[in-house]
Amino acid sequence: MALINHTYTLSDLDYNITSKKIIHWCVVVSIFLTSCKPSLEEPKVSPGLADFSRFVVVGDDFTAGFTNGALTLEGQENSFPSILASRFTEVGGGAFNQPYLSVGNGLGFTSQGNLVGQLQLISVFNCQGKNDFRTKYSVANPYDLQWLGNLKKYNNYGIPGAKSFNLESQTFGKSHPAGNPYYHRFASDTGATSGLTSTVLGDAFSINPTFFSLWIGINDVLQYAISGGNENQLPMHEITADSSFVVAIDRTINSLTSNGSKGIVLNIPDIENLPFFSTIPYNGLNLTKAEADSLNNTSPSGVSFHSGANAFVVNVNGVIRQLKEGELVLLTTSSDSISCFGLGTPVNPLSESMILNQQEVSNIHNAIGRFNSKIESATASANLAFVDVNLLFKSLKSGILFNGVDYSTKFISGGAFAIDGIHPNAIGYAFIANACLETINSKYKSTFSNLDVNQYRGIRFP
Amino acid sequence: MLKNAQTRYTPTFANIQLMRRGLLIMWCLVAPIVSLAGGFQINTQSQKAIGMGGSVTGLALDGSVCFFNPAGMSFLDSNCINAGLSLIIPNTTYLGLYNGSEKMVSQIYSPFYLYATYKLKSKLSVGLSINNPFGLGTKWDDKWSGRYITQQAKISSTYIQPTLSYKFNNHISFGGGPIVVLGSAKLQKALPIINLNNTEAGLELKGKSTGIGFNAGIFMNFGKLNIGIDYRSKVKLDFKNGDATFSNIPSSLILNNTFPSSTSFNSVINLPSVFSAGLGYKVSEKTKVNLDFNFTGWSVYDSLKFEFTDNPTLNNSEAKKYKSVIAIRLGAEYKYTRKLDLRAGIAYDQSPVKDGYLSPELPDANKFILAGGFTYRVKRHLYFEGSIMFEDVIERKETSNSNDNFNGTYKSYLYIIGLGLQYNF
Repeated sequence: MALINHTYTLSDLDYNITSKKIIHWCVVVSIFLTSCKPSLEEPKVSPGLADFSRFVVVGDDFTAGFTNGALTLEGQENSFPSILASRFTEVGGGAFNQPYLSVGNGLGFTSQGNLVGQLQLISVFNCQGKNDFRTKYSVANPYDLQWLGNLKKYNNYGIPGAKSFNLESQTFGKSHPAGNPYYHRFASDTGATSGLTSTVLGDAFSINPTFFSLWIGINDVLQYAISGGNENQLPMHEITADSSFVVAIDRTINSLTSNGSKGIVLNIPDIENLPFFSTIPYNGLNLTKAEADSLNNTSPSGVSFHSGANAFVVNVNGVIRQLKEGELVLLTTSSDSISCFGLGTPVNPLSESMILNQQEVSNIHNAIGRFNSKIESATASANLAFVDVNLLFKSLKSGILFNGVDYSTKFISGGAFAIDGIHPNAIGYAFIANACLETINSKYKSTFSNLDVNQYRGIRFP
Repeated sequence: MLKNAQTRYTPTFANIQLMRRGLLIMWCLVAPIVSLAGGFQINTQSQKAIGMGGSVTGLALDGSVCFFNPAGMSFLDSNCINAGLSLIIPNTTYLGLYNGSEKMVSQIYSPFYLYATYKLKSKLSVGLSINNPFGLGTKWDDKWSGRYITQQAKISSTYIQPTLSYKFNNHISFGGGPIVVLGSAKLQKALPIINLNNTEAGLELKGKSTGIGFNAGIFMNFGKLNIGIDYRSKVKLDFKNGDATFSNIPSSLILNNTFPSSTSFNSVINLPSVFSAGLGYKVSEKTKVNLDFNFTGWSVYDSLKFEFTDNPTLNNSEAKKYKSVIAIRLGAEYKYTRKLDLRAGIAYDQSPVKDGYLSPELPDANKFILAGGFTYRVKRHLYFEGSIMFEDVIERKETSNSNDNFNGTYKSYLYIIGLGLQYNF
C-alpha cells in the first residue's frame, strides 16, 4: 500500500511518473520543439568582377528619384540607384550620399515653370456625381531651392529635366530659370565668380567612381511628347538632334570610364508604355445610339459615329477629323470635359496640343529607336553592362505577377507608376533596380539577389 | 492505513477527471484544430495510432477503431472509452528569392479525439467517434514577403460519427456510420493598397459549415492474421454567407465602390475520401505488427473559390489541382510488461500538392515519419497512453507558382506529442 502514493510506480521500470511530471515534461518538450526550426542555406553574395565601393550615378529625373511630378525626400530615398546601393553594401559598397531635400512635398515645376510641390491624389465627385480620382499639386518649400554649398560628396547626379547635352553644360548649375534648379542646389560651383558653373559630369567624376550608372536621353524626346509635339514651337521642347545626342553619349561614357570604372547604362523606354500616353485611348468616346445619331446629323463628311467606342475628334488648323489608331491622347486631357461637355466631339474638338498625331508619334518612336541604338552600341564598345529598361517597361505593360501582386503600366491601378503618369513610384524604381542587378550579375559575374518590390510603397490613396 | 491511502489517491483521480472534462469542453467549443500532414490531413487520431506511425487498420486495438475501421469494433475484447489530445508543433522555414529566410510563426495546435464502443449483443456493437481528421494552420509574420498571399490560414473540421458494427461470424465483420462534419475556416491576408498613413489594407475571411459523409469498413480475422479495409467518403463543406472583413481600405476606394468595408462570401472546401487497407499480424503473444496502405482522394481539392454575392468584382478562384496520394505505414506493438505496451512506427506520406501549386498557406511535401508510444495500465480498467511523432517534410523548391509567382524553398519539421486515456468496461 505504501506504493500508492501521489505517484504511480512503474515497479517494472523502476521509474516514477505523475500527471504533474507528465505535464511538466510535455511543456518542456513543446518549448524545445517549438524552437527547433529547420534552416535553409542562404546563397552567398559576391561582387564578382566589379568593385562597388564608390558608386556614382549620372542621369535625369529617373535617376534622381523624381516621382508624382516632383523630387521629394521620399522619392530620393527610393531612387533606383539608392535601392541598388542598398544591395551593394552587402559586398563593400560605401555610403550613397544624395542631395536630400527637406521632409515635405519637394520641388516640382508646372509646364508653365511655376514652383509646386508633388502631386497628390484626391477623391472628388466627377461631373456625373460619382466618386473619382483627380491629381492636385501641393505647395513646395522654396527654401529647398537654396545652394547646399561646395560639398562634392554626392553619389547621385540624377538631375531632373537633364538632357544628354546638359551633362557637360557650364551654365547648368545656375539658378532657375537660367540654369537647372535641381543641379543648382548642389553644384560644386554655381558660377558666382567666373560666370561658368561646374558640370554634372565633372562633379560626378570628382568622387573617382569605381562603378557608375548612366541613364540619360528620356528628356531628349519627352518634352516634345508631353507638349503634344511642341505645338508652341519652343526650341527647348524640340527632339534633340542626333548629332548632339551621339556626341553627348560618347563624351559622357568616355569621361565616366576614364579611370577604368565599370558600370551600367540604361536605355530609353518607349513612351507608349508610359501611362501618360496610354491611359486615354484614341477611341475613348463612348456614345449611345441616340448620341451618335444626333452627332452624325451635324457632322461634316468623313466624321461619323456609332453606338459604342468612337475615335475622338480633333481640330487641326480649323479642320476637324477623327483620330486614327496609333495616335495618342495625353493624360492631361480633362476627363470631365470628355464625359460631360462633349470634348472630343465635333461640338468641342480636342486641340492638337492634347494629342500626338501619327507624324509626331513616329518622330518620337524613331528618335527613341535611334537614341537607343546609340546607347546600346556605345555601351558595347566601352564594354559596359547594358540594361534594357525599354524591354522591362514593355513586360510591365503586359503585366508582371510579383509575389501575388499584378503590376502593370495602367494609370493608378497598375501599381508601379506615380500619379504623374510618367515616372515610376518606389515599386517601379525597385523593378528598375532589379533589371540592373540582373544585368550586373550576368555581365560582372556578381551574385546579387533581386529585391522584393513589394517592400516598397505604391500609391497612397486618400 | 487504508483511509490514508484513499485520501492520497483521490487527488490524482481528480486530475484525470479534470483532464477528461477539459477534453469535453474543448469538443463543445469545436476548437479550431489544425495541422499539416499529407495535404491537410491530420494523423493524430489515437495515441496507439500515432505511436505506430498511423498504421492500425488491420488491428482492433481500442475505441479508435470506430474511426479507423468501424468493423473492427466487433473484434474488441471489451467496451472502450478513449479520449486524448495531441500537440502538433509545426516549424517551417521559407527561403525566398529576395529577403533571405523567413520562419513561420511558432504555434501549437491541439486536435483531440473521443471514442466510445459498446457491445450491445454478441454480434452487434455500437460506437461513437468524435475527432479532427482534417485541418491546417499556418501563420506568418504580418509583414512577411508573402503577406499578399497569406498571413494566416486555419481550416478545421470536427467529424462526429455514430457507428454500428455487425459480426457475421468469428472471421468477418462489417461496420459503418454516417459522419456529420463541423467545419470552420479563417483566412487572412494583406492587400497591396496603402492609405495616406502608409497603413496596408487587409482581408479576413471567416466562415462555418456543416457537411455530411459516411465511413464503412470490413474486418477479417484468420487467427494470427487480420485484414481491415475501410472507406471514408469525401465531405463537401459548403461555406454560406461567411464574413469577409476588409480593414484599412482607404475611404476613396470605398466611396468609388472598389471595396466594401465588409461583405459576405460563399465558398466550398472538399475534404477527400480516404481508402485504407491494413494487414495486421500477431507475430507472437507479445508482438503485433501492422502494414497500412492509404489512398487519399485529394483530387477533389481542385480549386478554392470565393464568391462575393454583393461584390462580384472581388470574386476569386485559385487553382489548387491537388492529386490523390498514397501513404504507406508500418507499425509494431510490443508487450514489454504485463502493464506496459510499447509501440513504434514508420511511414511515408505523399504530398498531394503538385509542382507549380506549392503555396505558403500549406507548404507541403512528401514526408518521412518516425513515431513511438506507450500504453500503461494505471488501474485494472484504466490506461494512460502517450506518443510522440516526428515528421520530416522533405525540402521542396517551388520555381514557378502559377497562382501568385511566389517562389522559393520550404523546409518543415513537425513534432507531435500526444496524451490519452483509455477506460475499458
